[in-house]
Amino acid sequence: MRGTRSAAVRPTPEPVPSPASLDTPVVILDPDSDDVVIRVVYDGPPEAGKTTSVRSLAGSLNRPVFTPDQVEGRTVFFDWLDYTGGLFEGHRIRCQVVSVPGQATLAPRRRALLADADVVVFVADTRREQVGALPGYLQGLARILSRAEGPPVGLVLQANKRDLPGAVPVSDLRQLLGGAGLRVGIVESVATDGAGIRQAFVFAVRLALDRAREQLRGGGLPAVRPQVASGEDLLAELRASESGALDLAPGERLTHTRLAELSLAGEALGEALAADQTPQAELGRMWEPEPGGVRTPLPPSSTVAGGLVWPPVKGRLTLHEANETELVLERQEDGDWCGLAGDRFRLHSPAGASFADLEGGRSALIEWARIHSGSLAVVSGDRCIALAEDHGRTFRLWQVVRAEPSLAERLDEAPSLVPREIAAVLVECAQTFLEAARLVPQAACRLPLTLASTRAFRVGAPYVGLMPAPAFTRPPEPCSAAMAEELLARELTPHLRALAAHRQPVAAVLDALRHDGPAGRACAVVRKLWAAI
Amino acid sequence: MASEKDLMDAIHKIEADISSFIAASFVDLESGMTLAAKSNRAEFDLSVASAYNSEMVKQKLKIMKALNLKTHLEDMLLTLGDQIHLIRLVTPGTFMYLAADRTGTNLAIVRTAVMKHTTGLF
Repeated sequence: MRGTRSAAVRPTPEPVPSPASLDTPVVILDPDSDDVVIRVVYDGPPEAGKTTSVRSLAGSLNRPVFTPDQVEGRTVFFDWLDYTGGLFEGHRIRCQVVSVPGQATLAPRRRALLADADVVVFVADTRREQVGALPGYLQGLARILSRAEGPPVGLVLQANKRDLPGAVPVSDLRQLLGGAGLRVGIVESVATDGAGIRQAFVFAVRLALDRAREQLRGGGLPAVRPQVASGEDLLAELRASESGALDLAPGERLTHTRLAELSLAGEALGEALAADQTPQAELGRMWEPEPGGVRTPLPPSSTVAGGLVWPPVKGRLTLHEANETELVLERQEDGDWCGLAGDRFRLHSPAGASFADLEGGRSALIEWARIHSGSLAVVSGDRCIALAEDHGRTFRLWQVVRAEPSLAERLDEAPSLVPREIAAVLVECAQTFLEAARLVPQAACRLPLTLASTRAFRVGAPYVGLMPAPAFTRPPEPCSAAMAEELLARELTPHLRALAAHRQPVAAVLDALRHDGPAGRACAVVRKLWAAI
Repeated sequence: MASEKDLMDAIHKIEADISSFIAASFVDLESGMTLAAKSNRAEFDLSVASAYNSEMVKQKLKIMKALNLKTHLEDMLLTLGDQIHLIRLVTPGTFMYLAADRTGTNLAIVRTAVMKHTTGLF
């Protein structure tokens, strides 16, 4: 839709084309101006402040906004802002900023505009009465964006209306979104007076450039003249592709988008694309020995240069979130550096992960990224690795992992429960652990499976622990049922000892339980272990 | 991170301290995009200047790396025929760029004013 590699948007028999029918959205290089062209799309619920944000940004950048039509003050097509600034690999960056319409009747138009995004700024009204529907809306948006081919499309949550009473604290927002499995960068804003607007925009541009850089690495930016170079072009293109199907919609009844409707619409767009496939990179040189000295290293920041964080877009979002809370770093006896960012992220940098030069660090980063990408089915997704500049112009490799509830934490809480609940927790933990032991050999390296590194509640990939550093990785080995039970016995026995006071009533409950299949096996293992103590 | 308003306030204070102030901006080093900017001369394209100065800072950092210098880059002073340009890194990923007319100020004043009003911003 953005370049002339293929013809202009082709008229189709359907009234509105699905995004999949349009050209693949990618960052392009305009051969005439030598500019890199990126598309920043402002999305969000009705009256959240999309248009206000784009206009505020335009005022800040001293650029005009093109708005084709409005009905009752509401956007019918889009707002368009064109801004050229910054440099990427020696090319000027031309930002095409587009906001989408919010009405339910115009949802197909919104999706068509989102299909061309290199990054999305999601503007949300963050007052308490509005945030409940946010996770559902964002999940729908994430499903739309996951259809984009090529590197992932970044998502920034512009938490708007922070000046109004009832604005939910950012920590609560994080908890809400984290609970829904959403990873987005959050920037607070008050669009009406311009606060936070420019920051959200520049952060979004960074994410779009991460996408461009990944594209560059995978084969380069296509040098094509942009099909859409102005708001007028985009309007003409939309009109041509819609064949007038949506012209009457706003006139009929200008209803605001209901979140549930949009969420369902998002679902209808289909399944996400196949899992990311990181290109195989050349093996870098092995890790250098740690130079002397115990000065606390500088942790990774979301401003880390492109190419020094993996995964490229989501990784920067993870760092952005981790940077928002106070970080405490400690040096372990073995020389490793460990840290906690609030209670949400764990940071770790092995003793040998300091590099005297950038290239050495980058080789290690690529090597480690390859191990991570080969373990996606097993390892929790909320994590990244980054090469951070350290003191004295050295570089240090870090992994940042979201702290997920583990089986060990579940078992630590068990003594305060009643016998029936304790029995249920024991069986659940045993079953989860045995399943994890079956899956973990699918990772690209051997993972240290423990109760503390296994996710509780059996949702998502089971391994939530730290990844071993490349220098310490060993090939995965198969884990038979007997080996898994032996490992479980070693891990679970201390917890069973801690529950000795509850032994009789819990054992009685366990004896009365009648499970089949994996749960039955787990129950039998727990009974056996308890009897052996 | 400081808001655009905070950054503009800092620019205004620097402008008040430097009588021959021409333009100033806070720039994101990675992208070269301005976070806040003010120019008193219409012909002075601060967006372009900021973008290319980000390349200059990156090149300087690369030079330091090539020379294996174990220190950090604090600021860069450039003297033109009739202007003074100062670039000061306010964070590892953000710098301030300032241009002033040489006739009304000198390097020391410019440097002092920028340091005074950008310290502790981020």
